[in-house]
Amino acid sequence: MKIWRHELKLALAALLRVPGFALTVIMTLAITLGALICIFSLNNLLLVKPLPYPNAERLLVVNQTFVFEGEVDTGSQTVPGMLLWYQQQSQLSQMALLLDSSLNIVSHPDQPNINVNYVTHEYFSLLQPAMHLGRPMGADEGFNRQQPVAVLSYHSWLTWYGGKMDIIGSKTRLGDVSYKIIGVTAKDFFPPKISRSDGNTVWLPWDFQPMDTKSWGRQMSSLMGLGMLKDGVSMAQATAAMSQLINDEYQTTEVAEANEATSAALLPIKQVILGDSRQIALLLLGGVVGLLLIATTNVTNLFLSRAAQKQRTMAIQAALGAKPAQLFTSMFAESLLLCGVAGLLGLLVAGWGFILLQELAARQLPRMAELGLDVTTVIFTVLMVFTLAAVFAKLSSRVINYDKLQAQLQSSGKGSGLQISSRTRNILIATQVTLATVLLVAASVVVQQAVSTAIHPLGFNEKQVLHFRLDRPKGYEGEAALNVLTTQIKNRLIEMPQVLQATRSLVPAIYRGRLRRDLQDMDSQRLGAFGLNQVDPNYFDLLELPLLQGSTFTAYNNDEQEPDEIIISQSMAHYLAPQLTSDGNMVGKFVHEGDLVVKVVGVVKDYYNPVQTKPEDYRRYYRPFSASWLLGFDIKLAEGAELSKQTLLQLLHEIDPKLRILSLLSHSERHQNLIYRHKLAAGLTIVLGILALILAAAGIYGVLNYSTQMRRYELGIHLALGAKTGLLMKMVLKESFRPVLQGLVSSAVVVMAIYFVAWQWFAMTIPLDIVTILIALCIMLAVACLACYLPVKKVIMDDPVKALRNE
Amino acid sequence: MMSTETSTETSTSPNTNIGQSKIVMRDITKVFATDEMETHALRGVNLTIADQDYISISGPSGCGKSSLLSILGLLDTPTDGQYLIEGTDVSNLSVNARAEIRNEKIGFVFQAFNLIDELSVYDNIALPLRYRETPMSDDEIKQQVMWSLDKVEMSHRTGHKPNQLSGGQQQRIAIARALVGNPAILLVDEPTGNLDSKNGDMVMAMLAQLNQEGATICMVTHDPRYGDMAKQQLHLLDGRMATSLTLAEAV
Repeated sequence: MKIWRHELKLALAALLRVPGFALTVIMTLAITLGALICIFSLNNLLLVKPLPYPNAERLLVVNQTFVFEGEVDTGSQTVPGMLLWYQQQSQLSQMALLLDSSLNIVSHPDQPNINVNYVTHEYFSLLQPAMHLGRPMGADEGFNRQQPVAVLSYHSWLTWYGGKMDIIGSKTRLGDVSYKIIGVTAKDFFPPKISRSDGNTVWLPWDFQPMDTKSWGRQMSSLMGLGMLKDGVSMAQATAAMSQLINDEYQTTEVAEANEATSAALLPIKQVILGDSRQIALLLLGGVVGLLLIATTNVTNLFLSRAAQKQRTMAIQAALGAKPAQLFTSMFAESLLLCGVAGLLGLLVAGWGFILLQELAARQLPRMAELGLDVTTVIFTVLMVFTLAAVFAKLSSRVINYDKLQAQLQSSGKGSGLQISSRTRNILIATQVTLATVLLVAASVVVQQAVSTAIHPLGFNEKQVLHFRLDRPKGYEGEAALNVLTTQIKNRLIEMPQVLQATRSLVPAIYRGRLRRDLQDMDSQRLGAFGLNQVDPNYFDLLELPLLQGSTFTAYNNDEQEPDEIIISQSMAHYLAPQLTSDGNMVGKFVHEGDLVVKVVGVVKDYYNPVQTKPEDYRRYYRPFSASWLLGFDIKLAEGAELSKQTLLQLLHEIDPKLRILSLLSHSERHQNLIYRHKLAAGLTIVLGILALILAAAGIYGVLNYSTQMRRYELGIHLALGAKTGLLMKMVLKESFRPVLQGLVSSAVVVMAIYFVAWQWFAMTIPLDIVTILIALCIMLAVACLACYLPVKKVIMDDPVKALRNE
Repeated sequence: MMSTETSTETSTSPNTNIGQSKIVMRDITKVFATDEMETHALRGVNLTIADQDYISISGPSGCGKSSLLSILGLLDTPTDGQYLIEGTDVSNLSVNARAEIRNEKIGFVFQAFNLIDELSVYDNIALPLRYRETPMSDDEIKQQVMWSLDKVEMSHRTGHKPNQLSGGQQQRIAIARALVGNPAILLVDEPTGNLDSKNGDMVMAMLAQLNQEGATICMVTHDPRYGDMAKQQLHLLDGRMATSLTLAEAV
């Protein structure tokens, strides 16, 4: 211990004399370790750390699967199906029902629309949340008890209820029902992100959910079950039993088609929560590991130079009796001190990284609220610090020849010093160039993909277009009444001075979910499932979505007659034409939508949805609007005009005070929300790429600067003998540039190897774009050229006498 | 008291005093070989240094002084021959064993002082004690350091850094560091080479004083004035001992 104290003291004193070296190493490692710690914590949280719920490994999300003629659709549940399981299944020890929805807080002055989860009381017994105030729902508020109670999340309590400590027992009106608040969950309870709920939610009893409990025809992704396997029951056994239960019942319903079956899909809750965030987390981890490799190479260069500088001190130590192990300890103490400080700063950087990730990615990545420093992160940091310190000390000690140290003592103390061999130097530079270029190519591929998604034109004019959805009001029985109401709303909207056009639209043009329906040909042969929207005839005009063939819907009175016209997208026309026509013209063709025969009256241009980009996602069709269940509107505002929620609400209340807005968002906002993840990926990758470039440039500069400095005397002699600077520059650059070129060639080989491995072994096609790769190579080349040129310039542009005097 | 014998590579040295000898070198050769040539730095050097002896070695550049001093200090190994320190053969020891003997038996004083700039005077002097195989307590180290500082009359400079001292003071600190471990022999390499005459004289007087107090000293020097202060002067030429002159003979 005493030896260590002494060595650390010696190391500290030595480092204080070389602040440039110490600062460069510390900052390089701090930034890199910070990024690594941050992304390690993210990966640990998402991939390793158990969920913060009791028996989390046995918790399951219960979904329903429909199989029709080989096409499998998972994740859209029916209310009667879920109820059937809830009441009759015997494989799960407990099962809770959950319907994700939203309601307005009517009792709040602003009537905000908030996220609500209708749940059965088992939700709380399965997750066992700690409570900040009151209690969770119990069996008394369970299924069919009709108790209007509400449990608030901590954040909703703070946000919407002012954080009042005496909230328990008070009433809140959500939608049409007044609920008694019985509890507020603790601050550190994070509801599982299996629905849209982001922690700012209110839980209401299942009994108050608004869906039809008998309809097998309505499938919803916002509905799900949460359960726990009974002891001794396997996932496969539970799936089989629950599938049989539901399919037997489904086959007796009138909506079941021939060749159609439904079954259970039980998924571990962790898998559902993670979704595709695993790939993002691993991608980021790969990036920072690459960064760490570059930084390590850089710092190794610096340590090698430092070892050369420290020879005299080590020679003195050796002469005084220090053994090789003691010299290693001395070097290890110095690297440990540097890595330790860098580790501490890295923890700070990671802390900022956590805040940044929570700000930027909370909506995209699960469990972000839990992200932070914990024991595992600190242990990881300590391990990294010791590992890096040992690596740097070991590599430094390898360039020190203990037996030759005495030569340092016999000179006047200004020995020429040890030089890193040109082979080692070239390997270091080539490695650095290879790593940085591979990382740069990978970053450019990710950025190119993300940017192309982000800037891809939608294909319609999204500017000044809003979409809002109404809560279905009570007192309007049947479609006809709702059609009258929605037409009235549409007409009043058009009268507003800031509104240019208004149209009814079941769903917004771009959104995350999907509404699809099967179509059949006239022989009842299935044609496939196609995206559906129900819109007014002026919908296409409002969005400036051009009709390529035919016309929009003919004038009709939807109060009286069933619409029988459809307009299909360009992709759908291309898909159907070979099956239904000989001339490729789909206009005038008839197809079946269930029992209904519909006629294609027009073909409209495709548009782009950033989250649905498969070829089948472009196959959409439009039917005339029918106010059956979703009451949506698109409004085109005049240039520069705005429409606030309050103004809209005022207008709606003039029509009917019971009308409430469920959501109001411009298409531009929707678009930005949908491409946010791509922008985030691009942003993070660009930051990583720039860091990699800076580190690589600094590393190459460091090595070449060191080796050029070691050649100062020689270059001084050349200059003194009359060598021209251009010639010397050419001579030194030629030597420096060789490893850069070797690195570029190796990186090309590595990139191709990764491409072929991904292709051959994992059947993955990495979208390599030759232009993108060339740009990445050019950037790397330019940075490397600069890093080669600057050290040489510094020496040969100075007076030769300075080099000769070693000034 | 003094029993020094030198000879060329052909001479044999009947060592009658080996039990009391601090250093015995027999037929030491050192050859530096490259792919193209061999350079004979030492050619069969025999040397015996007795307890409390004070010898100086001189010779022109390239005569082998540095090689001899390196081998004497266990900084280098001989190509051939036998080397004993206090009766122990140290010719072919491992790196760690040599470091251990260097630490405990040998004290170095260099021309360029070779103090570690980052450390204080106290820590520089304490350094050899911290490398001891058997760790010493802080109190023991302090006692030894203060004793050696007293010897060189530098007790008032313990907290200074080497670059805050004059050349003469730095060399006195280097001598204190050499003494601190109570070594069997002090190896002194051109101790006045980086000093002005006043400081050079002071350092040499100090070495003479230390020898009178019982220290065994082997010094390499170019300066005949200082070489004369030794009890015996050896002259190296082309890797061989050319002459041996005792102080009495010189006088």
